[in-house]
Amino acid sequence: MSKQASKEAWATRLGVILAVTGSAVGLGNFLRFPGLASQYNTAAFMVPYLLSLFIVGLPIAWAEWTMGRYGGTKGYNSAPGIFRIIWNNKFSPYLAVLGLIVPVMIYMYYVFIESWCLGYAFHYLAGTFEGLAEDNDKYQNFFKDYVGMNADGSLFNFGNTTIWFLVICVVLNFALIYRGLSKGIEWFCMWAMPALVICAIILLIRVLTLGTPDPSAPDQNITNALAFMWDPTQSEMGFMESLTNFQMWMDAAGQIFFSLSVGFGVIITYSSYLKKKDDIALSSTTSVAGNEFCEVSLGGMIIIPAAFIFLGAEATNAVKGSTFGLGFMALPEVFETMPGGRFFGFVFFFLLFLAAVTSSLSMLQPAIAFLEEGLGLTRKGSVALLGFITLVGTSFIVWFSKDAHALDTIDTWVGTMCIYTLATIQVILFSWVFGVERGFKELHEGAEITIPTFFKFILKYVTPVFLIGIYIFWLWGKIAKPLLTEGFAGLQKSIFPDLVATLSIIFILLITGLFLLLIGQAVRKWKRESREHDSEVQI
Amino acid sequence: MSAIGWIIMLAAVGGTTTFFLWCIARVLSKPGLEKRMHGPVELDTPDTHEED
Repeated sequence: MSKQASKEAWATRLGVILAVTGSAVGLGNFLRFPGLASQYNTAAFMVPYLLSLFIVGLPIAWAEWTMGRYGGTKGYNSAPGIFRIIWNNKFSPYLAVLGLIVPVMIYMYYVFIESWCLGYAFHYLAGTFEGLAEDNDKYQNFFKDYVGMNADGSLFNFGNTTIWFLVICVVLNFALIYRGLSKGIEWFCMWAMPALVICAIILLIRVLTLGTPDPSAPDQNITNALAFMWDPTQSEMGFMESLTNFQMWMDAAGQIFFSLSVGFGVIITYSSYLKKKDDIALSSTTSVAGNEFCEVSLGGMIIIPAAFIFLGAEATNAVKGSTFGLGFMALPEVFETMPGGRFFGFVFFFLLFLAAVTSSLSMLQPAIAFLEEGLGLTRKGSVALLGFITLVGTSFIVWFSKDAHALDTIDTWVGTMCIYTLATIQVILFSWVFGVERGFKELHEGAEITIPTFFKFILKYVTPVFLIGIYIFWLWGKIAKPLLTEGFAGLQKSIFPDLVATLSIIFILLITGLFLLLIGQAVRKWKRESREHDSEVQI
Repeated sequence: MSAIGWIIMLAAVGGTTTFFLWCIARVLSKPGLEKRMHGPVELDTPDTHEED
């Protein structure tokens, strides 16, 4: 079933590590993690967070890297091809449809959010926020107007700058993808990731040297701000009270899961461009460590302490649960009040923009790899086709911008349910189909570190049970509970609450159907090639 | 901030930073960082197929 190895490859080892880390580091590291952790009790939150890192995050990352490199050495770079190699079953390539629709559909809305970051960075340079003074309602109204939350279709007019920034982001993403793996993605990540860390360190130094900027509010100082984020005795919610909160465990596991980009279908494609003797054990662990560094050491020290110092405890508590509320409504006010805020505001949103680009790029490569190897398209053809599909999807999301409803619906079904499903399938494929012993042997080919053997047990039993448990819990809340408590009316309210949600679900199904058809075509091509190869060997 | 607050903050931030620095040091200390000058990417991309 093997075919000739791919012609694409990573140019350097550091390049693949930075590309995978870049894929993982995104808005969630700098906005979602600090907001979520401080929403409970950060000290207590770190317990399930670290536990999830070791029983879910790292094991799935190792499994994905291993299966990806294994598939790559057999000549496949796309999830359908790799699944077919791992599990020789006629249904296996079709299961991998999730490895295509998850990154492609998340890209459709992620690039929109990416354009907000670029737009905000530009508006800081242009001084747009200077006239808004210290009135948070003005920042909220600016954001809602800017992203079209007030009415559907409100962004579709020629003079609207939101659309122009979106166009810039789309062109940038596809230009880099068109340049290829090494000259596009790797080249960009090689300078964007260090730049991102430098931006974060500049902001960190600024926040840690703020002291007590407002003498009339002496309690709003840096020491109290760090205590607000990290001190368990200062938190509104007690340590033990938080530890017994099941929702916190779910949120911590979810944060690890989404933050590391496991179950996205990205790592499996990226690692497929490695050679058989290239290390993956240390490289995968380094990319996870890089993500954690950005999330805990940088993200955990910047946003919430800055918001506390300038907005106070009450206002920070009110916004910290909302990623968009914290990032795009509260923080602009913080930067406006901060000395040198115009520059630091630009640095912050440029940092978010870089983090978003390195993530969105990674979401395009799985489908590009599939279109090229499965359908035999050229780079121009695959970029054009994927560009068209994503343009339709992004336009749909941007049109139905009221309350970001289409974005929310696609995020719920694809960005949550499909990711859990794909991760569960991948872990089962690795541990039970490929075999955990064989998988560990493959993982240690060319490895520069040794993964402790107890992780075999974790990968075979703990991780699948954990994922299936979360999956059942999610399905219970979304489907079973509304059905049992309110009947079909409750189910309808939960899944199809309105026209936009219904259209969004139909759109997800259409894209899934399209990719299933394309996979069918690819399977026929691979079978034909296999037969031709066999007959050549016989001759 | 209380002593326990400082300990937790330094443990979390210090732990993740140390973990990352240890990994990066291991990666940088091994050969293989140099660009693969003769890598296939430089010689043959899917675009070239179109011109053939």
